[in-house]
Amino acid sequence: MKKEPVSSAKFYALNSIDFTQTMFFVQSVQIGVGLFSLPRLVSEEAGHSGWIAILIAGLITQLSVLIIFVLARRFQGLDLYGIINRLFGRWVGSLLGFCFALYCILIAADVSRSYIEVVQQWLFPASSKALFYSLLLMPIAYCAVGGARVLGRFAVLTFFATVWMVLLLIVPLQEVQTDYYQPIFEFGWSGLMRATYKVSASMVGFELMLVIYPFIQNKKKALLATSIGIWSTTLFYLAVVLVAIGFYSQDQIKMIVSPTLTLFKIVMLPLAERIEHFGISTWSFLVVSTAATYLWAAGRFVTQLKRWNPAFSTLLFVPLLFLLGVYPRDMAMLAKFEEIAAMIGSAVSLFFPLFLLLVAILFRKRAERRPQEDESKGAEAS
Amino acid sequence: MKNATSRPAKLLPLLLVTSLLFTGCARKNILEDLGLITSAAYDLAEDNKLKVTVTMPETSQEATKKVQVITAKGDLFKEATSNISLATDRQVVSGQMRTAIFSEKLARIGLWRAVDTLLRDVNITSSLILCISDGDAREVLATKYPDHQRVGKYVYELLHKEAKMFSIPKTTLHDFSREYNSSGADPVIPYIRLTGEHLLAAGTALFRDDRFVGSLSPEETKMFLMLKGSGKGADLKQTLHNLGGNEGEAQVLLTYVLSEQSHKASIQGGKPQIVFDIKLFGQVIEYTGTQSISKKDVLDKIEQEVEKGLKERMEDLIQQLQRKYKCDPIGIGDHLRATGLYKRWDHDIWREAYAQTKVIVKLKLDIIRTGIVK
Repeated sequence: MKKEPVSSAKFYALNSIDFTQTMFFVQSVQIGVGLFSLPRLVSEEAGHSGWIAILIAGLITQLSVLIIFVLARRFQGLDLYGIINRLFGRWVGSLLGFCFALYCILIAADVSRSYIEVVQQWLFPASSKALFYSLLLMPIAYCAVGGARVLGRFAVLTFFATVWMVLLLIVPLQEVQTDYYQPIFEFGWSGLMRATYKVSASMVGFELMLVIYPFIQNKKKALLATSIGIWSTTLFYLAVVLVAIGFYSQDQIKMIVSPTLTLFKIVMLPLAERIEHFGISTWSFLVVSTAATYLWAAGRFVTQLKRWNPAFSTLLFVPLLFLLGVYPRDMAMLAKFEEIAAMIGSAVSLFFPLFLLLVAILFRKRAERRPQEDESKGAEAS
Repeated sequence: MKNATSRPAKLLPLLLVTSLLFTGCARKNILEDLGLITSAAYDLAEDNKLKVTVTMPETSQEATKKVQVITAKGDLFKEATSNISLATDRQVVSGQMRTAIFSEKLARIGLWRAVDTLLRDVNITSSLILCISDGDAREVLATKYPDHQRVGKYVYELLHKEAKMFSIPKTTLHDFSREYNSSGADPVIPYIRLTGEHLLAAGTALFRDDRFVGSLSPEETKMFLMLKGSGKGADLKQTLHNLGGNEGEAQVLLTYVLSEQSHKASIQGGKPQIVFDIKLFGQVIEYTGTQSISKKDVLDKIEQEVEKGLKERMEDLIQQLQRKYKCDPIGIGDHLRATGLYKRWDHDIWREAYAQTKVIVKLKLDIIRTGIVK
């Protein structure tokens, strides 16, 4: 069990993901439950011009993705945990890596628990949350154990299983009132910045590129794939927020908990009504792929540190994930939990790669001497 | 490597299959045991309590009536609704509710509390149609309509159909909430009246914030809806007073009227001004004049006369809304705000600006067809 070459070029090559998978991987990790409340969050801060915040957040995300790629290219063949170890040595590196793994579990718990809350609110108000949560954890753990390639494939499946929901936006689009968008450029900068911060919590997910990077087949095109991924997320968010702003009046949108779901409440198909119920159920794909990827990313820490079996190291975190998720008792506590997770999420995804890059530049010698052996192999394998 | 990874992985599919057994744990809803509320009526009782009446279709074989009508009282809307459940053997659920009827008396003290609880309930659809009844709302549901066994469906279909004909507005729960929560428009709700054995779509109930302030007739409602937005399907009747020559008064009815509304708001000399530009396309279906309408000059004259008549009616309507009812169902406030000419905008500024607004109506009618006879 102990002798797995879990960070060798061969292991990466065996589990590699291709261009399409990388693209959808980024997208499906980014889109989680944040989208449910996104139109309200931006409207609360920036009013009817809140959609501009989505574009700004998209630009900031692109910038951090560039930083991530500069960093990853500098340490060809290494993932985040490897990079941290090279930069800070084994002890401090392991500690930092452990913190990152905890962060991954925190986000995974946040996403899956928020989803359970939505399910309970909309579908099963009387059912046990622990039961639902453990049911959801099963596919999450299953995907996470599968490793990078399974996650990549699942991301593609997730995309095609959920993309049809965009069509449902056509119905509320017909009720849009153009007055609600005008005057277009009426906003305060401080409000817009706060809105951007709120949006950035929903953009979180791209920082896992640092973990999955060694698994990407064609590293030259990886940046392109990632950029397509984040911009399709951004455009999708933009579409939803634009429709929501025109569909609701400003005071109305501020009092609806999940405006995105309520948008679907007016959709009536000839054979089926209450489409939001289909929407919520289908959303589980997005939740599972987000949470599973984070769980897997946390598992990679143990895998690399102890050279343990990847499946086993991933499953190690499941109890923690469960406990963190069931901890919030009620709505107020969950809101607090989500707020903290959002804050940590934006901070880590935006500043952690930047911090690592700065350290790497400052201590240039330490960082670039050793990866050489691995690097040549990693480059060939890809 | 392969063996080692797959051992825990083999366990997981097994667990996933086991999870199918949990499907029995959720609360069951068996269709035969459910009392599906199709419509609800809200009244104010004499002791200031709320009175809620619901209709539920009766599906059992022994029943002689096709619909169950139950009334209950309570201090809260949901309390009254749950009191209803005491009077029936069914599990009362509101997922199929299509219409909510409020009495005018209740609407006069404010509807928001009622709408708020409907919005809060996840089971109730946003496309729930609201209406105001002239008298007791309970009567609308409790009356036996000889030709309509299912009263819930009757009310719903009536409102749905007439909304397409422009004689009443279409107001869903979402629409009401949207306009109530906007500092720039007041909500409207269709108005119905019980006349003997029939229900009558009687126009529009006007609201200032959430309080009922008055009503518009179906003819006025058409004018109002044309000012509010574009649409098609209305029938318009117009009396022509001045056709020239020796012709006296004549009447014309246009059908399938297509209306296109556009507007331009501005501030002229410190006062807000809004110009509505309305283009109408219609077909003549009935005409009582003696001159042949297939002649171009006669048709032009009719067009001008109808334009003049409709314009007067619209201006008169706006006068009423601004001066008498002091409410803004057209959403002139939203149009003004959208110009960006106001640095600050809130509820009070809206009311003030609306009262001062000069409204100009421009109307252009094009008769595109005159029927299949010359």
